[in-house]
Amino acid sequence: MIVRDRLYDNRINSLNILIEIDIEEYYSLSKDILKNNEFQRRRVGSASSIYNLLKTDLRQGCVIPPIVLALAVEARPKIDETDDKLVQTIIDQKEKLIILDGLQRTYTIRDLINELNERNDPDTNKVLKNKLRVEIYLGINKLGILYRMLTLNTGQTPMSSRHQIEMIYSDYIRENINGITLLKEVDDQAPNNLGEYKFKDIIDGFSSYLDRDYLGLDRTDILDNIKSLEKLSIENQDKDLFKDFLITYDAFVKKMDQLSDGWSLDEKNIRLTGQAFGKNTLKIFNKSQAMTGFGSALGKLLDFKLIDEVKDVIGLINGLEDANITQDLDVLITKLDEVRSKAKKIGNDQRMYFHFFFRELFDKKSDGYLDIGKSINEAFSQYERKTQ
Amino acid sequence: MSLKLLSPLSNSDKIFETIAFIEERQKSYFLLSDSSGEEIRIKYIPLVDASWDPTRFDLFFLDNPYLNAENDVFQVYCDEKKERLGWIFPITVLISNDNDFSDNRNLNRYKYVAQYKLLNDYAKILKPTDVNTDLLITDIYNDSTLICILSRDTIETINDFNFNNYRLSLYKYGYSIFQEDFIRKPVLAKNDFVDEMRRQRLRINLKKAKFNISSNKYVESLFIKHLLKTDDSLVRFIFLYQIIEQLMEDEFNDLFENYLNDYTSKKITKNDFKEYINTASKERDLIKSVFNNTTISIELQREFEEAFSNLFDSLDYKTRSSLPDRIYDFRNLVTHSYRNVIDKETIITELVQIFEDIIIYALINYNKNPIALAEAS
Repeated sequence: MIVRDRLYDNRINSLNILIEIDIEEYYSLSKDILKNNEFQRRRVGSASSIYNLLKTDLRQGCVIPPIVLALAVEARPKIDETDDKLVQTIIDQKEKLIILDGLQRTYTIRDLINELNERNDPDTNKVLKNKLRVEIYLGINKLGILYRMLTLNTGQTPMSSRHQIEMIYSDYIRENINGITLLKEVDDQAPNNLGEYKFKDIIDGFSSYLDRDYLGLDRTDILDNIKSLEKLSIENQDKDLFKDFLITYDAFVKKMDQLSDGWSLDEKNIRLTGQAFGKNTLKIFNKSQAMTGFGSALGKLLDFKLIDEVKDVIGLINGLEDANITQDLDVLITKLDEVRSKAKKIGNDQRMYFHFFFRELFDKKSDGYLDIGKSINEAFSQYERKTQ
Repeated sequence: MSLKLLSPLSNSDKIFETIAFIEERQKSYFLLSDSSGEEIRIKYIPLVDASWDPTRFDLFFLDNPYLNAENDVFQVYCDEKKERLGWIFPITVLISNDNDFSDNRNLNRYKYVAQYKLLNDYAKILKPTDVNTDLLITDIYNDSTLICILSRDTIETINDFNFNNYRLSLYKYGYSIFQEDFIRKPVLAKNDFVDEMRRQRLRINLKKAKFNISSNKYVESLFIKHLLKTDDSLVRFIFLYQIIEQLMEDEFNDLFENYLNDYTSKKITKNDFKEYINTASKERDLIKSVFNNTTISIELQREFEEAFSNLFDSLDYKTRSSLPDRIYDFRNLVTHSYRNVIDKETIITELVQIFEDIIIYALINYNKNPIALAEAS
């Protein structure tokens, strides 16, 4: 790996270096990248695609456009850092590398090497020594990565913003934020304890916050995504919005758990048309629909300047009280039951309901401000008005 | 049949004819490919049970402005058979596990069959899309579509099974045949029926209609167009009463033919002939003859009687006691004295709704020879 050039990207405050690397070294590097980041996009299928042509060209030693990687390190390297120091930084933290552009080319390179090795092809060593150019953004923060991925993907196969967010925040699964456990889908575990959430559901909530949209459509429109990123970049100065979002939501769930004092649904006396949305506060609020409603509601409150930042809500959460919590939670379940029986798309309607609920609860101009019972009923009225 | 992807840049559209089902640990999908190997993936969201052969099922597209929620999933039975024929469910059940039926084993088998058939049996045109994006079935079909899927193994055991013969019965539940770009107008009076279906999770019990709807252009047009397009009670009543008028005309024609035969064969005199024709022309008697050819449930008769009495008592009008008489009286009121009831919209709406239910019931149970009716129309 040799550093050939360096430039500073002032838009995203990151050092961009151009390295020259042989295919053998990139093969080894990419193995770790793909292994460590299960959220990277799946490879394109199809036997007779353009990538088969690329394999043939690579064998012959063609020069392909630079593959772009990102390394999110805390300490941002300076532009006058020595080449050796930069290379060492990359090698030492290679497990944190993400591919911003060139995933399919990476798969193609790997396929080619694997095929050559299997066949004991005499050209293998020659191909392994062929050179590649790789650009690496060093010291880039997560928002910067998102922005770069979007702009780099222009005109190519778009990745949805939700998918990108999932990829970028996947390292938080390993990191313990405020004692919160994020469960991966592959773990097949349900979040049964306080402070446990499915990573996928938190991503849904955070995406809804970014998009200000509880529907969580997987939008690939680059302009829409850039607009929401620009709004975000104003907020995200020296902050980690994802962490703030997660901690705030967790605070809400813990508060509701504390207020409810062990409440569980009285199935004998509450008649529902189908399955209950949740039989205790944990089961109600650790669902994607609640998180999504929370995210989109907070986003709207921010846009209307009713709160200054996500964490402002923690103060409001801590001040929540409810002398009729049992009754209010019973009403919440029956309202959600009605939503369920009438909704054309149950999940979407539930998200809409929670969006109205959280807006009522945290909007100081609303009738249900900091009043859980009133918010539950007002949210349902708004839901009915919207859907009928 | 296939999915066709229109290409805006060239004249060669892609036809995705080859279908395969791929089941992976975290996700499943239908993979459609064209002759060049290009692929489209359509996600399969429900719990997978691909144990049935899709060729052993028939699929019908329905519409229902009342029972179109994600949880409006109903089993389909019919009078002729004591076993389930299949299910009716909204297409949104194929893209969600949020409903109450995600764990229903039998239904999950039908869901797989349904999605397979939707992708394999029908030609649909896709707008140009990125083939690497995973689609949902609702990216291809309107998300208001309702699906009726029936097992051939069951329906083939029913003598002369024809789905068209059950259209009137389906209409009773609010279902009509799906028509692209056709928006039905729901009628408010149906709200109680909807609540009951949902609360009690009732089955769809189909009855084969003795009246052949397909052989009568006017009647058929009501149930595929006219009645579906209006929620105005007066207009609906006029449309529906025309069915009675037509049946009355058929009754009169039969009587006329009989009397004419008797007259020409000198079994009756000219004066008798004139008198019989005059008598036969009386609408009140003709409508009774119509209802003699069918049966109406006691419950429906009672409902009509109650609503009818409420209306006529409020007007201080005399009332008669038989259903045909009441229907005829209501018709006269609407035709000749609507100005007197113009502010009684609620009760009129209720009466018209019950009248519609009576017409459906009457046609389903109509005993008159359908061939004669077809010729008459």
